[in-house]
Amino acid sequence: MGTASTTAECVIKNKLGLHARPASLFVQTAAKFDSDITVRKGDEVANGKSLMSMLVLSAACGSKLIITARGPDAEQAVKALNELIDRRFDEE
Amino acid sequence: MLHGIPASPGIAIGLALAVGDSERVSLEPESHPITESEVPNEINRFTAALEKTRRQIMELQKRVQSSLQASEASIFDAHLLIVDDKVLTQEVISEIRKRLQSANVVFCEIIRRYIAAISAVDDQYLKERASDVADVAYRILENLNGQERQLLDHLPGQRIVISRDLTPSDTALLDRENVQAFATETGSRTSHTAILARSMKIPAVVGLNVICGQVHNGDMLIIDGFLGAVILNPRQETLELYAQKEAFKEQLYNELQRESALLPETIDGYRVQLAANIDNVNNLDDILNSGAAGIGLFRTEYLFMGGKIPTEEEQFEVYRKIAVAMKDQTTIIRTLDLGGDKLSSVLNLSHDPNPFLGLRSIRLCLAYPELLIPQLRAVLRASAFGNIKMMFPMVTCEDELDKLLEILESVRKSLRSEKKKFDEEMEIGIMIETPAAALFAEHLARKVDFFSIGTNDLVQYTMAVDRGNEKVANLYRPSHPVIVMLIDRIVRAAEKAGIWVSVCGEMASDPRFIPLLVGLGVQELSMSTVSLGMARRVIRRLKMYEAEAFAEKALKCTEHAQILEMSDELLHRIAPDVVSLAMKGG
Repeated sequence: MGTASTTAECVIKNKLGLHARPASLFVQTAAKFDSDITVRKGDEVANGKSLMSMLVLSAACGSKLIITARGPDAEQAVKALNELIDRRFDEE
Repeated sequence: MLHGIPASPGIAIGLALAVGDSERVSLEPESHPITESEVPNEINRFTAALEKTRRQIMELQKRVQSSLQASEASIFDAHLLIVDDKVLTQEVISEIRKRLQSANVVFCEIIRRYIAAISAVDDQYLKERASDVADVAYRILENLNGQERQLLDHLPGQRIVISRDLTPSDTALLDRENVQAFATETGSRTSHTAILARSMKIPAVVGLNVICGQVHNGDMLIIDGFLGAVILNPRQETLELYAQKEAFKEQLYNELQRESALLPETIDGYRVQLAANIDNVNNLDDILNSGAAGIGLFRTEYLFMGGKIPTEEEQFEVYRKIAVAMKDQTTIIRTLDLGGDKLSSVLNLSHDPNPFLGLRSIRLCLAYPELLIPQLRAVLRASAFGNIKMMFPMVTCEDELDKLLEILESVRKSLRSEKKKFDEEMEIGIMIETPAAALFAEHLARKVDFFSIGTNDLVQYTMAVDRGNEKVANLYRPSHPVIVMLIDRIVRAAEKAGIWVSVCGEMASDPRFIPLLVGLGVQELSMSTVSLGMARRVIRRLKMYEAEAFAEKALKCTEHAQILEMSDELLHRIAPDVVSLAMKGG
């Protein structure tokens, strides 16, 4: 596995935050990539491929997240996840 | 004896089947050390339990999807991701190795930590996800223990189902052949679970303070859906008394059945139209045999619940079928009355933070013409085959009505140019179910052919009470003076404009309120077929001048309890046999 790493900052915009459906979509999208994905909110870090971990992170509307991907497809992974958040998980 | 809220009439005597909480495994199992050599076996047990859970959830998802609730099915996607969560799985496996404890112990400790962390979140909505995690955790643990979960769609025989909570989808999946009755701790008389029980004709008591800890599988129970009582392990005398009561009920129902050919006329010859509420086309025979003068409310929502919008042709076939089957009897088709939440996946809608005050019903149809127009076309075309009328639900403002009538006119125009037949004179009505519409009824009445009062929503919106929330359900008061005033106002407005008024909410089927509604001048009462017999008898024991005097007196009352008491008293006097079966409370 390569060691390329990409990072992006984004803000959760959908009203109800990362509730079950968006968190599921996030995890499902992350799972499509080989890279390891971490999501940081303040001091907390979650595994972007684990729903439980994302639910504990509890990103409400307005939360600032830093997504980091490490691996061969890091760039594409971050791009896809960032877009998902920007599209408000197709909820609004 | 335990007292709750009578949710669905009827008496059941039988064996208890306790499901849900009382049966749930504990998430705090006792320490269970294992040896190094047992580790691989524990890990295998754990992964096998995960696999079994995954299959169960997928099966559940498939079933719920096919029984019409697409939005409820989507929650199981998240449940599957919890089962598939690699972080969780790895954590459990490595802890089993490290701590030499059974999979049950390790899994529970870890899952409790997650549940606690999610519950501690500072956001009401996100915090509720802990219950999803717990739901999945219970399943995994049951599978680790080799326990079978009781499926309510297949009971081991005739049983009375006891549960802390039954969601509407639980209720919809109930094994109809074998469920005699059910009793729950949550819920109110007007929660959807209760409404479903009544339409399934299953006796039910809800809102019981405690029941799960007290009732065990196989206990003998009596459920009294008239009084809202649950009797545990009844004595012989009580059993006999209830057997008698049941026999009396049978007898009365048979009597009422035989009366179905009699006209619903007061003693002094005033005719009240009795009509039926239906929510699909399966039981049209029931209606034709019930003595109803027609269908006062045909709910079309079920056509839209399969995760897609039905086409004009699909709808037309359904509406035509009813029109033909009902011959010259009237059918009032209500246009789609759904919350946006139920169609969010089809319409790509965002979640409404406050669905009851949000984009629902006619508002949704106005926002999405692709919902409204095919339905209008289908109803109009069906009107060529029978006696069809149409009504719009939840109209609040006059401009909404204007817009609807304008769209309707343009639909008529295109049907004419396509040479499609329809009834040019088809009556158009609106439901009055918000205080705004009730207070403005005089203006609305000039533009339509009839009003239908939806008392459930009218009471709910007027009293500002969610009728499904047991914490405030006692404030849901159809007998509140304000409700009586609003109904009076609606009827007066209709009189002035020369149009007729129907009531199609629950009030119409409550025998206590029938004299009041008739006395106020309501011309039609529409209810589920099971209530028609009682309503007919009450009307036939009533004198119109008495009912009018009663309504006048009620309009002067300032307390809902007073109106309720008067209504009870009148019913006792004119139809004591009905009282013994009629529901208390509410």
